[in-house]
Amino acid sequence: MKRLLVMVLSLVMLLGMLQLAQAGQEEITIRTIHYMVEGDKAAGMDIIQKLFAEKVLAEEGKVVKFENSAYSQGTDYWPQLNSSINAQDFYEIMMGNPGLYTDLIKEGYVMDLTGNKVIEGLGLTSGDMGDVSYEGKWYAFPVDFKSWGVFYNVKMFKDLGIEVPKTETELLAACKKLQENGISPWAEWYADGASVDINMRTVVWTKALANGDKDLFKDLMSGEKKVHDYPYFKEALETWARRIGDWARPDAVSNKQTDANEVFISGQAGMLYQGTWNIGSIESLIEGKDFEYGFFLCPTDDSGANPVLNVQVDQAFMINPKSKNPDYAAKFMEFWLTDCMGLWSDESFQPGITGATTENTPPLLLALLEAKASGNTACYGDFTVPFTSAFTGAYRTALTAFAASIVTGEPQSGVDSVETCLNYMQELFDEEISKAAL
Amino acid sequence: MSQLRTVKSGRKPTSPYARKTFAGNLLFLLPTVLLFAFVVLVPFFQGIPYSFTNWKSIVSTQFSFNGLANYRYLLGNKFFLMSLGVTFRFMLLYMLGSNLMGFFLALLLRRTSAFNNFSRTVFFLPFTVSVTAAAIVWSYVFTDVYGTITKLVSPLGLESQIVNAMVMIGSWRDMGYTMLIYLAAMQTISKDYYEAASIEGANTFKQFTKITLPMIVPAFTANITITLAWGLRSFDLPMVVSLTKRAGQTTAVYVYQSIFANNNAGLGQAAAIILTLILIVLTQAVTYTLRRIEVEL
Repeated sequence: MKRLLVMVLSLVMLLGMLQLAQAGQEEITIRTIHYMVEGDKAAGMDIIQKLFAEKVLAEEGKVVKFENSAYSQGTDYWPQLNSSINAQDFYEIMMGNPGLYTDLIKEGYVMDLTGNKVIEGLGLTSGDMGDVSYEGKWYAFPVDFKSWGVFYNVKMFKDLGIEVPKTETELLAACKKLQENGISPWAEWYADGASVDINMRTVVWTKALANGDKDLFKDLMSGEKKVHDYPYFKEALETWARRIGDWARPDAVSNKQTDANEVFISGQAGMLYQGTWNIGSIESLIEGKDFEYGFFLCPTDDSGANPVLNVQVDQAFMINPKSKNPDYAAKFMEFWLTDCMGLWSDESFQPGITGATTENTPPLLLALLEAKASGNTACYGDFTVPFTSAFTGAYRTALTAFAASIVTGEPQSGVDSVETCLNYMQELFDEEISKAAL
Repeated sequence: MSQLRTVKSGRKPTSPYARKTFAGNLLFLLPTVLLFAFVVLVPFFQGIPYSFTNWKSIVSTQFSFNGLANYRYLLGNKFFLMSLGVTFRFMLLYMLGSNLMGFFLALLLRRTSAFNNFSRTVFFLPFTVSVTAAAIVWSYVFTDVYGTITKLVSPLGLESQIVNAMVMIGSWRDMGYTMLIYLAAMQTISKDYYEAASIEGANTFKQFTKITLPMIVPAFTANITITLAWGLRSFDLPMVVSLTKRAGQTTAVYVYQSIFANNNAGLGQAAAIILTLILIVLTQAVTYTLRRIEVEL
């Protein structure tokens, strides 16, 4: 009995000493709220967080702990972030492009990073900086960028003698050839708003910026201009309709991103129009399988010219100055941008904003970085303001109806042609404008 | 029984015993009432003033009184009225679907046996699944099973069919719940009634219409009231399957989108109050009607 008592007391003392030892070290908690629900990105951030914690412990003797909360961007991220701020429960790091979080900026929940030496030292383009700015000031650390294009099944193309298309006619011929061989040309995913949106961007962004229409989104949201005033929307819809053609799969309107990935990887479809944020998901799906994919930028005309790369900052992080440890959060982001960009690209399959690579960087990311460095780009950040989430929702609703009407042959919300889609889009925009005026 | 009459008549209890019982009942109700008031009533009443403002983002502290502008806008707005139409259509079909399926399942499984007990568990299982998970499972069924067999587009992808598809998912999920209520009600009916009816020569159909149905009307009242309320405030199902399709967006989604996604918190609050008022009026009307039927039968 005595022995047992001694053992218990010793254990209690040991635990107490451990606690004391830990209490001697200052503990810093950095809370992050983000929408990187893809495993590879979250895992990549975890590694960088661990490296940062080790660095701080070694240099300053402080213990840094990270608490990460992930939510789906399309549904609950924004409400969760807003609710936590309303409850004065602040996250140090908040994922998002500042242009979409202007209310947080106006209320002082986002740190002004203008003149930050690390960001300045990255030498980013005006487009990159535009994505993390609001009214000329910097409000987020940009980490990587995204673009979109066509992922294709290399073996299938080779077997059928299909070359990577350089013109729209060649692309449509490839679609026809795949269809003639019993293969769906496209794995489509029009149940996701992002899909219908990226199908338009190649034409809308590229043409609008080339024509100097940087105020496009601003003027549409203010009501100063109508969608019919810009020829790009009509042209983009017509080009997209030709791509959908008469070979759409019945699951095109009900599939989401992950479903389309499976259709593509399983060989049911030869091509997948996707964002580069999806490279990691495709890589994890093909692991251990005899599957090779390629990627090309979608040709939208017959000029044969090099297609323009659309660029938008993807992962960007804001700091809340009202949180407990904003300075350490900023230090962490600076560490990420300076010491870990190559690592981030390799882990997340995302092309880093700084262009940093390692010997393990996948060839597709290297090609994207090279394309961006060439300057043949159309950057979202070069528009004066981005669409707000309300306008993005309205835009995507009209586009979804358009896609479904082509796939099914049935009018959706009165949409059965390019013209009716533009009318519906404008009607939805007008609704948002009238709400804003209340 | 006298206690029941006292409460129903709305008169205050007069005898010391009745008063004591009444006070005891109130005491038992108090924790629930307080909790309900704290998490439902107080926030609801606190929210009412915001519906008369032009409050935009919920993090914003800047807003001003705009009178009835939000209400006027909503009642004349095509898309809000469309969302009400979707809500009513969904609620009506879902209420019918979940109750009819639950009722027939209860009839089929009313007798106690090992097989029936197992079947009851199986049919109740969908109710234990979250609506979101059920919607995801059904979207696979519609696309990968129904679509593969029929080569047709999933009803979740068609605006003309999306509400019907949502009704199917909702009814499938909740039929187990209504089945349980109907089963419980059926099992409280004394066998003596059926024996007496058999002796009098009543056939099975007669026994069903003259004994079973009238005796389980309270269960109808409970199930219809609950599914009506669930149907009217349906949110998670359309949120999963119809985020970019107005044809499937209920008023609850309209409220959520207005407040959170679209930064129109004042307007969304007004929409929420309209929906709540409709819910209260409709629930009260249906409950009142069904209670009258109960008494008549």
